[in-house]
Amino acid sequence: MTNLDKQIAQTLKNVAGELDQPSFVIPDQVVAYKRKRSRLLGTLVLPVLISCALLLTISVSPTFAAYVKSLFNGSDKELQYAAQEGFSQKVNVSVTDRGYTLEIEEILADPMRIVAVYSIKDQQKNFIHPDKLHISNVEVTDLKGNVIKETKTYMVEIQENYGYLTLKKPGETEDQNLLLQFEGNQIDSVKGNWALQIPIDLEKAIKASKVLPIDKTYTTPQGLQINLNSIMHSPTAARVDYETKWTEEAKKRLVEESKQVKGKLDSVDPYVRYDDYKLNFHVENEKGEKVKDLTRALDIPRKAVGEYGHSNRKYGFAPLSPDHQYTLVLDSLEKTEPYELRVSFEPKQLAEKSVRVDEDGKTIEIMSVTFDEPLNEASPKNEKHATILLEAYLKDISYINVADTILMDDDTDKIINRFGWTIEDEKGKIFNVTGGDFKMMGKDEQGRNHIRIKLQSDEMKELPQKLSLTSELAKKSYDLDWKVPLPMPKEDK
Amino acid sequence: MKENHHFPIPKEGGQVDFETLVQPHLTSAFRVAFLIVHDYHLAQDAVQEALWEAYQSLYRYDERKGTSFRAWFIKIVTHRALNMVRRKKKTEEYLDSIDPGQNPLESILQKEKEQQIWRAIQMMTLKHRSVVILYYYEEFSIAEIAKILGVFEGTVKSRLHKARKLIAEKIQVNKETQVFTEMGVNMHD
Repeated sequence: MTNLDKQIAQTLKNVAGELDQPSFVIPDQVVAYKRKRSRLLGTLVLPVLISCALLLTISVSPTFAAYVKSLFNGSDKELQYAAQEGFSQKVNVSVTDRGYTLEIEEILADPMRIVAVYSIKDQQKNFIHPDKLHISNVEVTDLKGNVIKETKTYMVEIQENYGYLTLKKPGETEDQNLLLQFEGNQIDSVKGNWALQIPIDLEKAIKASKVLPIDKTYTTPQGLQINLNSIMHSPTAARVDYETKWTEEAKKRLVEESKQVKGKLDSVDPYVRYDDYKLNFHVENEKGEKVKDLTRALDIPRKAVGEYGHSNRKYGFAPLSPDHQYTLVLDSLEKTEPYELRVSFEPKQLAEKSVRVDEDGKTIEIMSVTFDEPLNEASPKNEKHATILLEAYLKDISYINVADTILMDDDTDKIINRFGWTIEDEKGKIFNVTGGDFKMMGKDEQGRNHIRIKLQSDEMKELPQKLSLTSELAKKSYDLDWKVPLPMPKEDK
Repeated sequence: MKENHHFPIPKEGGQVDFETLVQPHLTSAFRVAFLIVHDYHLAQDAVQEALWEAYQSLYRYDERKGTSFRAWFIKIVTHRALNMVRRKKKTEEYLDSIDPGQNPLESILQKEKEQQIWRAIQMMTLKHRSVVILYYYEEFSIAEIAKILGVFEGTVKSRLHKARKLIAEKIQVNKETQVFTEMGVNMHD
């Protein structure tokens, strides 16, 4: 292994090593699930209860209400706001080694995240760029030294002379007093030991954080039952916790839908898409102004409660101002389901112009059939592949499965296409889709989604007289309009 | 849901349940998916879908054929993750959308060279990136990678060669940029 090889391997290990593994539903557990249910619910519900109890009683260091010159003033608005409200703590804890001083200057901590601002200076007190520090360890522990597992993932953002170290979700613990361990072993090319231990007092931030019940339930026309459980208001963010599950009727419909897709393997139970859905929310104030979405920024994975798509989910957004009234709006449900779009054409016609079919408000246009390089990793590379380029204009459809599951059969080394398009010639011969491409182009003047798709098959060696294309599955968006006023904490006078 | 009737046939005989088989590989599977798609939630979805697919296709897996369960499962995860990227956006567009300056994970990589390497891997095409991840992170052999991706061994070798070259070039470009910057000269392409 060359030096470069070692560095590549180390880089990937460093990136991947920082990831917390999310929870997964193991299909095998489904059979045993009913037996395990009470225990499973116990493990999931208990921490929630603990964190709720904690939040309703909680309190940070008392002396920063008037702290104005915060290092958070140059960062995200949510953090600026929290700092202005006095939730940041001036720390100024430093360590010096080999002529370099590493200092944590300020910390902002609440139940959503901990953000620490650090700087590095040389002996002449000149700032050294924060990315010159090789961070060797970051973790949050309780006062007994037990690591809070949730905080093992961290990120660093650099702004001029300061590094902003962010650790997410410290809410796993009951303790209000925590310790941030921050260690580096190299600054620029100088090896050394810079280890800092900074106490974090969450008392004030937790006192200012409130979990308020919402307890509203809505069942979409598609049969997805949504329970809005609660909203957490914290100094740096707000978050709605909700639970989703399908009604019994919807479950049956999903099973029926799974049987409609032709691509399934005969010997296997149909793949029921209980988990294949997404809800789209936004929060707006009484003037209709939207609140900044923070779901991604807060890194909130869903947690499966059990089978049949039953899960706990969270929607995160910027902290809400007490000067306004807010409403959570459920905009749409996106769901993958059988979707048959069918078109027949003669490839020779395409030499003159594209073939366009308008039907039931749907438009599909075949642009070309060519022989091109393979688009799919798994396709054989030694020959050109028949490539059909088509464009479609469809309302409510945001994705059409091209060749969704590309499974290689070990025995024959053949690609098995499931849940994708079917290409058929005039004699009924079926050409498997072995690769493809999907692109959302935007909206047309009728507000329909303009979609561009490439379908490829290495089984078609020459152009047939006639071709029929049939789709099988698509992601369909259902507009919803469920509005729920969000409870706001009462201001302490 | 019916019980699963298609467990693989283990060497010693008897049935092995799916969870026992898959659990040891979940962390690694999630990380491979993440390295391919660069998105926590999409990687989670890719692995969850792969779990269902592996479960439903388990009867196809027979370790007596010489493929490890790990390689078989990672193959499904890899294809699921590749599907995710394709589904998300067209590859070129997806690559364009990656802003190295905005990637939080990059800041974890404190060594400048590691940051350059990670950037180079992010900017590669999917076919090169997946080979790099399977070879350097999962430490699969060339033959195993060929089987996972469904390409010839020679193709894997040439992709690895190209990927190394891309990474080396990236490091070199950054070195040159630094030198010029230090000299106070602005570089223009």
